[in-house]
Amino acid sequence: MRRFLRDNGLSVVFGLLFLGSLVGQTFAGHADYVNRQLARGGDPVSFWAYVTSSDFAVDVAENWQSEYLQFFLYVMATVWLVQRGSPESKQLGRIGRESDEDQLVGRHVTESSPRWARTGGWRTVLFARSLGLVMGVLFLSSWLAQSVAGMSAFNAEQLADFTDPLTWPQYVTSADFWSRTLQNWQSEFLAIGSMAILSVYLRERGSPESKPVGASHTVTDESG
Amino acid sequence: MLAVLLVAGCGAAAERSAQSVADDFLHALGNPDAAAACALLAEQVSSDLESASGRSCEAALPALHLPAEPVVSVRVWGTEAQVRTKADTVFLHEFASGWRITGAGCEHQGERPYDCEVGGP
Repeated sequence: MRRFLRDNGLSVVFGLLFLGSLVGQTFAGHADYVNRQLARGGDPVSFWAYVTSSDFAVDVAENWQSEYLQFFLYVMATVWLVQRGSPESKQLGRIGRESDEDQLVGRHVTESSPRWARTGGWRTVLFARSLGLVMGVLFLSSWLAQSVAGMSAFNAEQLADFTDPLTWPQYVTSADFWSRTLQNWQSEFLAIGSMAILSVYLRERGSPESKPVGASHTVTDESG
Repeated sequence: MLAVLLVAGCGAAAERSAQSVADDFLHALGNPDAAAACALLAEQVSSDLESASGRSCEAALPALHLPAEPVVSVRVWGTEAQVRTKADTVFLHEFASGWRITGAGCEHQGERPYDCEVGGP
């Protein structure tokens, strides 16, 4: 058990942090939602009614979509774009999909290569794109969920304000949808850009996200 | 996907119960049975009507001559609903005690909130 926890510390700790934060969000969100209902002359809503409401769903989904977009773009952009001196970037001469030798496919597979990397054909092509594909699908699914839950929450507000609700096509071109979307996107892009450039000049001893403390600012694709 | 199913599933049942209250309200207006219609108004709407008119709800409501046409469409989002008849738009809110009318005799004002004879913004 101790060995399992040591070997999987990152996923276990972040999994627990995620669950703890999500539970915290449900309690804080419920209190806020009840306050808003009371201010409008409505009745308090139960905790269960809140966690199954579109208000809760849109708040969760809008953050999920932007996080998955961040990693989807980072995975895809770092194939083609580099940053001199950044441990987040590959070496400047390796822009693109790289050779079979570099990627250990085709004649260069090893005994420990995953089965779909060794098989060849469509399985290897799919496996070679699987990380970006899954991140992309998770992003689009979360964004779709945001649009549906967001429309529902927005329309409830519209009716409470004695105005007409919107259809889904109207909602996905509305200011509310794009305000929710872009306020999340801008923070993700800022974080990626900051990390790419700050890691050129700053160090965190022992972190694979940083270069070794004594590494030159011009060294790219090295972690310590 | 779960959000889509929740929205669709909850929508149909909520539409039926909101329409049922709207039907009862419109039926009471047409009968006329002012006491029954007033009982379906949200508490705040009823008390606002009484303080604005200086009369009881049962006396003030018939004087507004609200149209009592059959329901043609119902839209429900969360705890809010909008019911349209040929001549009127009615708004409802779902309280712990059930759906109640929050606006009736409401006229469309473009992108601005509806202007309602009873209740409203």
